[in-house]
Amino acid sequence: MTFVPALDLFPLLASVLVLVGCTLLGNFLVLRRQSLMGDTLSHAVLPGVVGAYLLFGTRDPLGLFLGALVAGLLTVFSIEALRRIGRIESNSAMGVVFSIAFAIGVILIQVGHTDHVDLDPNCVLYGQLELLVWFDAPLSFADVDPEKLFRAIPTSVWSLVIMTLLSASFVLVFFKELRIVSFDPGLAQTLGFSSAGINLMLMMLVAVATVASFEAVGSVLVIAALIVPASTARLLTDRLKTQILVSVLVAFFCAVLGYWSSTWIPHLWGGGSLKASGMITVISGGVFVLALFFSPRHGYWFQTSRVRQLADQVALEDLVVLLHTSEATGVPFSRTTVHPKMLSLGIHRGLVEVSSSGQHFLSDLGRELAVEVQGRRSRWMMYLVDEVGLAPDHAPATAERLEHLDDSLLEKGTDANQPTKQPPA
Amino acid sequence: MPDPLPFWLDFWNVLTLQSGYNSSLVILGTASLGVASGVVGTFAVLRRRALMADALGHATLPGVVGGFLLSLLFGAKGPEMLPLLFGGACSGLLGILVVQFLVRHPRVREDAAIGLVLSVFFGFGIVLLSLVQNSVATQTAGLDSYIYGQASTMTRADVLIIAAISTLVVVMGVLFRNPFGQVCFDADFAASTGWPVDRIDLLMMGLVAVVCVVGIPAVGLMLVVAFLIVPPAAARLWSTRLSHILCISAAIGAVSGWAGAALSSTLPNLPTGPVIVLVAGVLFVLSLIFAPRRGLLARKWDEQRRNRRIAEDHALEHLFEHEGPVLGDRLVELFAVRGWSARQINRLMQRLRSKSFVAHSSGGWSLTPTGRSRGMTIQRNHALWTQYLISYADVAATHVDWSVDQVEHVLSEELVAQLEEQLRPEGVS
Repeated sequence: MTFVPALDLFPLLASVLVLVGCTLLGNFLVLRRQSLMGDTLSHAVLPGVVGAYLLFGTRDPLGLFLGALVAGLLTVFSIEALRRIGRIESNSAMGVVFSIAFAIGVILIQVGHTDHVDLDPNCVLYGQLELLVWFDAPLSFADVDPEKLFRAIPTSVWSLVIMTLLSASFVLVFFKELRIVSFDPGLAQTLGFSSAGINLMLMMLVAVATVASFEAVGSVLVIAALIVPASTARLLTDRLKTQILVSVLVAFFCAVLGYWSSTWIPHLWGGGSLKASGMITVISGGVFVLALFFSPRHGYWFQTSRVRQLADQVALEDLVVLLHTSEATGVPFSRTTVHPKMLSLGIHRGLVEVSSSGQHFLSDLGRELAVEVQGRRSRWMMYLVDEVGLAPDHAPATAERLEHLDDSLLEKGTDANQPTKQPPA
Repeated sequence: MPDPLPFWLDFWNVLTLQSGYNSSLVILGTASLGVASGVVGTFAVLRRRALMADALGHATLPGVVGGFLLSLLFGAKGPEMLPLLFGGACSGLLGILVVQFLVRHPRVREDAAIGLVLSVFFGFGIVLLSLVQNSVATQTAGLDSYIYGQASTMTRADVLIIAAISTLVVVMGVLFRNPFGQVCFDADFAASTGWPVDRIDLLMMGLVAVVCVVGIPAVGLMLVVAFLIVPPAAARLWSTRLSHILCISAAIGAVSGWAGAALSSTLPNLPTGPVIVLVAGVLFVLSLIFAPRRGLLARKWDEQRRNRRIAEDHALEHLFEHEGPVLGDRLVELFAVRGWSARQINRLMQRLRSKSFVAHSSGGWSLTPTGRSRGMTIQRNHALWTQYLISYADVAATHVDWSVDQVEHVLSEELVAQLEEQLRPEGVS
């Protein structure tokens, strides 16, 4: 299956733009726990778009944007008003506002349907990526003439370009403010940033992004584009800048792979093409699940294996200390006190040796480790008694658990208040 | 737009179930659904799971389409309700389980998890739908009505199923209202008193899922969440007692289901779902404005009454301190601290006179005995509170005046008695 410029170039371009543009904003929605505002706005701008269309009678993007901005503003303000005046909890306030708005939108579509035939609620939900055809396109990508291409770009793709540029410049220009507002709204307040102003700008841009993306990909892909790549990136990194870069890469990858699979998979049984917007969403979901399990930092898989490694280390250290004490005191070591798996692991790592009579004893390596662990234990003991102020008879139990931890901090003067690079959870 | 008069006649006929068996049936079905969603939605809203219901609604799409595909394999000719609803229930519940799995991960918050499940499940549903429409296009007619809700396509059997399930759900909701209420208002406390919170939650979400799925043929899966959220949100404005909220919410749900279905069957071309939601929305806005105590009007009214009383108190206090009658044109001077205009003062004095706190004679305005005693009480409250702030709350004497002015009007009698008791050693009596 190869791509054909006439059929695939603009849809592909559109999906990449939607995913990348929305993801840029989505990073901050996810961080600010406002993911559902994306959901809400993408539903709630519908009456604005349809209203503008019915009012102006054209699909001129400027009118649609205007309608969407008005609807977006109304949504944000009415949610805020319901929360403050009606004292309604924010979840239900969002639900009430967007569902009523969406209902009005669908009714407007039906009412307008009698006069204007080309408004279709399905198009709003699933989008019409497939309709972005380039009629007089060359047969292969090698023959694409940039000038011709430039003139052939449809308006909906242009509005996506503008939307992506807007989002990118918003994130670039207000990066510092966005970061402070996302991680520490209180600090932002004391520094004199208007948290509400930034928030309103973000919401307006989300509304714009939603509208720009409507025609091409539909409202559901917008929600996915806002939330999924950003959530994926959050699983992969702890740094905001890296997170944004990663999310853009993930978004790009999902758009391309999703679009490609929507045209390729049907060839397996020779059917017609699958809905590209849906396929992109499914692929994004798949990438998210992969990150959830296999992310080196926060994935379940590596976390489990890290825990297992730690458990092994603790058990082995306990084993060598046990053998070491039995050597020192002369009390013979009974193998029944230790899990056989640990014994064989110790032998495998060269810490423990077996004599011909079946007796277990420490190798040089094991003895070294045992001495090291015991040294750490006594240093922790001293620290606990002298610095923490634990009673001497309470310290050993704690020290025995801490002895497996790195104690280099203790030697450096035990400064516990070292700045951490992780953002607050 | 239809001609007004025949339209209203038509609407009345449909509303009163006089326009044929089918439309009456549909109306009864959506109304019973309204009751069920009103009851179950109340718990969802109180538990702050409103948008979980949205995720659930969207997540039913792949199941609905999958159920449709399966039913075709078993020889169905078009969309039939039961397999579609069964499939929808399965994938909706799967969606909820996925949300609950995702939020256990420290890096995934609930809002993101809901959005993820909602969009990815719905996207998958769209893919399935395009697959179905490509391969068996002729039989898919009517599948759309499950997305936007078109109650008029329901058959008698469908309505009976809906009514039966709704009844069951309402009975369950009413039976379990006590544990549900406990968990909704304070889950931690409920857990500490021994309620199995997890299992109660599961049952609650299960009921929400059932209503979601049953509501799909009538309201559509895009808007089923509205049917669950809007009536309870409106009902909450009317009362703070769970049992009252449940009843009001059920009533609002029933009315929107009834009137919405009637409207959409009178007006041509309108899908039932959005109309029902719109009716519910109108009821919500009405509640927001007119509800007693929490409605906008009631609160405005309360605020105004309170402001008036405070102004009256201030005026009486000043008159009491002045001792002796005041000429009408000297009042502005007397009340200078308050910054009232002459007109405001005039109206205020008229109000005070009608309450017979003051009397007007040739010598000017003077306090009646009741006015005098009221003024004395206010001044005494003022003094008590000042003393309290200085001696107990450690407020600097220079800062006391402003805060006292705010508080003196809301001191209850018990509080005054308590203050007197506490301040006696300080020499205040």
